[in-house]
Amino acid sequence: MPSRVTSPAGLAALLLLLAVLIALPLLIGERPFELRMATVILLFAIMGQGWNVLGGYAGQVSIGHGLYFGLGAYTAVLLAVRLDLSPWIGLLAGTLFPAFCAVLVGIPCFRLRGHYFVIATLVVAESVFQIFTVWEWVGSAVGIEMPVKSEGWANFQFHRDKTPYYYIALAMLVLVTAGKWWLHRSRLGFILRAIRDEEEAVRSLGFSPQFYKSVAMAISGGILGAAGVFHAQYVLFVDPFSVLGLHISVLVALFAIMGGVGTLAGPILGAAILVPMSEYSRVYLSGSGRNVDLLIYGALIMLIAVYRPDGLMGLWQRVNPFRRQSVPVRKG
Amino acid sequence: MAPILSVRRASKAFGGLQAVRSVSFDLAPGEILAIIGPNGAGKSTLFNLIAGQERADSGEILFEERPITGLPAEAVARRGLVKTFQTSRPFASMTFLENAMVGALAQGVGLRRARDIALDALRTVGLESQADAPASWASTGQRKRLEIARALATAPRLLLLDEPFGGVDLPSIDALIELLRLVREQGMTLLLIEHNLEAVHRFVDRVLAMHLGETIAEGTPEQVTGDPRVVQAYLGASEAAHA
Repeated sequence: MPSRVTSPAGLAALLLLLAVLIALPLLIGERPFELRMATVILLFAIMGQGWNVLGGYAGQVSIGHGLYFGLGAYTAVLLAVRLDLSPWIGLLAGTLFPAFCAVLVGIPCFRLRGHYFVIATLVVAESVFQIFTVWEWVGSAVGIEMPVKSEGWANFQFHRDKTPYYYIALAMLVLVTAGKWWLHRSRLGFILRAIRDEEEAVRSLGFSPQFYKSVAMAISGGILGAAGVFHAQYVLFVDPFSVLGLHISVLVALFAIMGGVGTLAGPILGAAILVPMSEYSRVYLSGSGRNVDLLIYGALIMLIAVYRPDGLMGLWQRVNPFRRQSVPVRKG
Repeated sequence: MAPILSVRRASKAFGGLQAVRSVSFDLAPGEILAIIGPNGAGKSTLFNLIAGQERADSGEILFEERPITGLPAEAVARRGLVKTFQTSRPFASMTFLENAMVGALAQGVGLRRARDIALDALRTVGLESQADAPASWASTGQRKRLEIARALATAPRLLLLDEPFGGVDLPSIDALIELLRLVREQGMTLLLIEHNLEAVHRFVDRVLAMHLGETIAEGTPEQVTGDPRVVQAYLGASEAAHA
């Protein structure tokens, strides 16, 4: 479980990993494909961490989280296009607005349980997707371009060398992962995990599951929204198909689930393995790409569902010689 | 002394089925009251009305002289009236200690204080040595005690125990009875549903018998279990005649 990072070995491994990630652009050198792939891995890891707050900790499996990614991306682009605001204000608004929308979506959806909740999240996301494809003010199906500005940190745009994007994504991932580490050890994390295990029992102890699930939904939606803003600043373009499409929702859930639901490293591991698999299969095994990587995903899902339903982290925890029980507070 | 719990003419129907019909009783502070009755008597529905899991169609429920009728379960629990479940529901991904800590967190304390409270609760129910073990490993008896520990950690004033002896072996029943006696000595009031009449006889102060949603007898365990209406409700008319 995540609290293992507090052990000296865990902390050393984490610092080593961070050092490698910081040095990675230097190791990659002048290879834009690999740098782009590393950035996409970080982006999906951020999204997976966000999904995991709701899906992993609170146990509310959503396959509509692409919605918040898309809302974040659209918020950033629209604020830049319509109001010419700083992209950093766009980042703030693109985090808060999806978080707020997530709470609104949660109000009716949390009345449903299990499969019905899953379907409701899908329906909401798909409905918004359909609206955006015909809504002219947001560019409808054609999409909308982010105004190209001079490159630099103030404009959050880097045209010749994309390395700064990598470091921004890395910083976001570190921040989100640190937040999740805190969450696991916090009062909120305890209650969310309890809700995941036995919601009625939590209610009988005096907690409102609806409130705590809404908090998880807001955090989760906010993280996805921030990832969406990053994506918009990276590609300088949004359209419903690229940021609100069902495939985003499915991939986010897939990476987190295959990595390990409710674990700190699971979504990172899932993205680190599945993104390169997708990218290389796209390049080497297929012209249009999609069919082959989806076939590989399908095969992987079946393998993990049959042999390791607790994901790749479950496999690691099984073979890790340093594993121990997690009690995330001091021993008396 | 004012009753800690008053149920006044509480009724609840599900469609055409009158599950609870105008049930009234008082519970004094520090008392142990058992509700008995055959399956379908309305005991669990009555429990759910008190705990806020169902809303009464009519009648009133007062806890410490304040109405709790229609309050949601979490609000009722925050007032100090906590329910355990017939089928124990531990938080399976957590340890015994973490389970009890969730209860302690309901007091609004921080994690460190919650850990101390949780350890005290585990000590009370005799599970301190299991503190770091996964709750998913717990036996039926341990699950029952863990659930009581989790409830105790919330510092309730009234515990609702739904069949605390259900599925528990004989030695564990003895230990549970001792535990509930100890809990009462610490100032807690207990209201329980129980089918095990032999166990009820050994430690409760008063019994309320229900049948088809109504109260049919109330008194000491001896009075109630000897009442012909109770015997008839449990055994049926023909068998009761031969009993």
